[in-house]
Amino acid sequence: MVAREGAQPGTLARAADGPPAEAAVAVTALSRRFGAVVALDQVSLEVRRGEFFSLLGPSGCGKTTLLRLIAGLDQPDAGAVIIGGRPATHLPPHQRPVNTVFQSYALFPHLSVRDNVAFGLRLRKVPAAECARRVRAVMELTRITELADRRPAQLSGGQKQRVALARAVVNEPEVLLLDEPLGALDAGLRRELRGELRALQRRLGLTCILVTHDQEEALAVSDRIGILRAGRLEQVGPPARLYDQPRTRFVAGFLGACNLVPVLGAASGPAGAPALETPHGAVAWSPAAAAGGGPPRTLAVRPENIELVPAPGPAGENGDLWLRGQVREAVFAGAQMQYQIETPGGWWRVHQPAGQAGGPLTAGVPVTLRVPAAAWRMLED
Amino acid sequence: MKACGRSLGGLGGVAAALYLFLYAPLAVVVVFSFNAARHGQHWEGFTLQWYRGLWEDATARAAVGTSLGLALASTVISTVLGTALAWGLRRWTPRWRARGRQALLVPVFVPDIVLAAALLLFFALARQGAGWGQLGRDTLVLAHVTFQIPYVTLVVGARLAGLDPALEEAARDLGATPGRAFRRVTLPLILPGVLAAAWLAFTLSLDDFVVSFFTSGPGTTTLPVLIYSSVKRGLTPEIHALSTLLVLAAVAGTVGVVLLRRRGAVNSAP
Amino acid sequence: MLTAGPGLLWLAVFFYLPLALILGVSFLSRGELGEITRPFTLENYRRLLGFGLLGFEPLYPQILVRSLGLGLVSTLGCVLAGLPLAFFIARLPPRWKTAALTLVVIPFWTNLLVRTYAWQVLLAPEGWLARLAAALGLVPAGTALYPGVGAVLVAMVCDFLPFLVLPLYASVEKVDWTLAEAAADLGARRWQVFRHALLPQIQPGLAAGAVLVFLPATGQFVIPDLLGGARTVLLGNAIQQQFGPGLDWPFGAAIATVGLAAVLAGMGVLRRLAGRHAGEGEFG
Repeated sequence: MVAREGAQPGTLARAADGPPAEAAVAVTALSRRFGAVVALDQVSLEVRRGEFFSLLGPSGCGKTTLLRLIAGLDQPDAGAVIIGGRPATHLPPHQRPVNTVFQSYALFPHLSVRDNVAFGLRLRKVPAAECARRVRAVMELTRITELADRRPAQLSGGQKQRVALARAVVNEPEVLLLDEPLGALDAGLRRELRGELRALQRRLGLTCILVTHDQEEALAVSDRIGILRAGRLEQVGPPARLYDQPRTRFVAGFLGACNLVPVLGAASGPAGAPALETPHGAVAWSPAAAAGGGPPRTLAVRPENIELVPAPGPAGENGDLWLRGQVREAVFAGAQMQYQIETPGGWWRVHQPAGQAGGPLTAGVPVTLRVPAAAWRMLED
Repeated sequence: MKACGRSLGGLGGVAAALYLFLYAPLAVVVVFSFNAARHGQHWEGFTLQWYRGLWEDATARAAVGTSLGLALASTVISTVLGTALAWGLRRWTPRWRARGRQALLVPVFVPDIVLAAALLLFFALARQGAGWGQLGRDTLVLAHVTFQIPYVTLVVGARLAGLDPALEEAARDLGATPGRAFRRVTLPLILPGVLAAAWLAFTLSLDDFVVSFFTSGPGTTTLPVLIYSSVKRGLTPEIHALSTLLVLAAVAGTVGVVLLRRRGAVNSAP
Repeated sequence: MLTAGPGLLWLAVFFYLPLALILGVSFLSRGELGEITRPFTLENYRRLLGFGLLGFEPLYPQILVRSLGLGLVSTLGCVLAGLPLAFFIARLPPRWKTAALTLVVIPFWTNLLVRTYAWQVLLAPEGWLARLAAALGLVPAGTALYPGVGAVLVAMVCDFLPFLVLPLYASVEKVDWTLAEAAADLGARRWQVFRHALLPQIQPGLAAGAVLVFLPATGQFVIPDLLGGARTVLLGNAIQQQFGPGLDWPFGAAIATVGLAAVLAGMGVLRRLAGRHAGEGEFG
């Protein structure tokens, strides 16, 4: 782990946005079915060295299956797994340079915390002195030194999580796999531990693959996120890009709240510019911007990108959409107000910073919505 | 629990009668083994002469040796095979696992006498066909292992079912081969179950009469077979003495297990 | 996965193959010297049904019925004795529970042969049970209370009672007594409380125990052999006679086949009567 620290900054910079360097893990066209259920369907993915990658999706989407295939705990029906540039598809788990933090932690109940952490090193016949030194260092790093002689049954949930992390990290794996490692903890502890996890990953230059169903967690810690749905990879990208430029309705809806507007057909805007017909009127569209294919099927607008103005404003020439409606529901959510607004074309969710001039709107108040032209996102489905 | 006192009062008498019923046979055997009278049921004074006679009886000593050796050998084999079977079964798909379990339950449900007759026939045909299967120590061990395996597998399987499958996966993930994962993680964790299974197998072997009666040869008389043939010739104080030893073994074994379990429960508490 | 192989192979060779041989041989004939020979025949089964050389004689149908009947009555006896015992142990204070349970386990681990022949002593003519019976005028003085069906039945219940009590106790211990109290509170009589509030809760243990008694009782060889006498031949003795002194293995194989089928069928009926939980267990 010390050796990798030097190479870290450059690796990280590349990982953020540069072209793929040597992938720490690559899977190609990976498929796995259980009986009639297709758990993974032709998934291809590259995880870069030093990157914190999250697999995000609802339960049953195949994310844990993918993790287990990388760990070697399960065998794919088709496709290949390459770890550190070497084919690993048929390697048994003990020959793969990866380590896993299990959802249930899977700490060995008959061993002390220290022996749990040392388990992997002893199996690899690391000399006793070096083993002890590395175990001590990792236990200090994960702040479990004072728990060394306890048994897993005597640990709290957060402590177990740290031990499980230490037990995996001490082996200096090329890839650290994390299967919902914070899933069993309460919200406050989750937030605290995920910060620690991210700091540890940065410090050691670890490559991490995190499986989670918690979008907030994924957005907070990841360099990149892959969104899985029903065994297929929907979209891969850095958190900000996934949030700002979702490609599908599923991604748009899974990462944060979103207003989805169906496209009814093509239309002509003012001055004959190409536009899309929606229940709310025509929306400007540039075919050139569409990456191949025809017009989008659905449009998306984030609730925070919509403006509320108390009085009807002038119809803009700049392509903004102006809609009149009525507040149906107003919810105070701390930093923001969340409104449900009914317009003739349908309902909208609108989030506004709390404490705006004029105070929060109340149910029943007529309002005007301004949807800026730049707020529209074109979705493939 | 408000009815506790009253209902116990009524049940207490019935329970006492039932305990008497359960222990009457054991008691007469033990008592008559110390009775100086060779015939009849009159008490003619306390004696240890029947035990002395037993000690000097080469046949009885040989039977004890045969039974213990047989129980030991068959227990070792069946515990290894049964544990491996339970462990392997866990990795099967649920459907095949259910079938495997059924295949294991059939031997449990088949009456002793049917298994005994089937093995007698099997060994006879093996002698005819392959010249192997002379009734003796080997056939006894084979027969005993056969009825022990399902019990071992069921007991160990119950223990394995309570084990998080991720533990073994974690061991493999940390660099253990399947064998090492079993030895260093699974086996220590299921050891109480394995020992309980071995104890059960040992007792089943020691207790078995019917299968041994059919599959033992002239030179390999087990203790129960010896008791049976003696009883058939007529009851003697020596048989009571021999049986008393078996009763004492059962008492010692049972109480020992209870005490061990109690100590284990105290130790494993945090 | 593969480690299941040796154990399963062992059972295949030393259990299932011999069982198949029994089935096969039951369709063969006995030679002059007692050897197994061809031709293939259904004669053994015809004999079992009572059609012998001397015309119809329902000896074997009687044995079959007697075995199943004794098995059922023994099971019933064990249930009647086991219920109070299991409830008694379950309601003891914790420190006495282990001792009371251990007292049930000790006979369980004691050799069945010993516990059975001991009844020869208990029922002997000079024993006080026989003298009591004689004093009551039930039997003539100086006669033993065995051999006979009664002796067999008493020994069966005594020998197999622990088989029923142990699984039953496991269920009784988990009983939710508030249900019984609620039922009593709603005006149920004692029998109704038992029938509707307790029985459903203890059914799994009761069913498992009943099967554990019925199977060895029906296929029993030692108990009728030592206490039954010539007139209380059961399936087990009939099989033993053919494989031993009678030396007609094909016919013995036919009895074993029919007996096994009868035992398994009886078990199926019992399980249906007592609930579907018996025998289902630990394998997850």
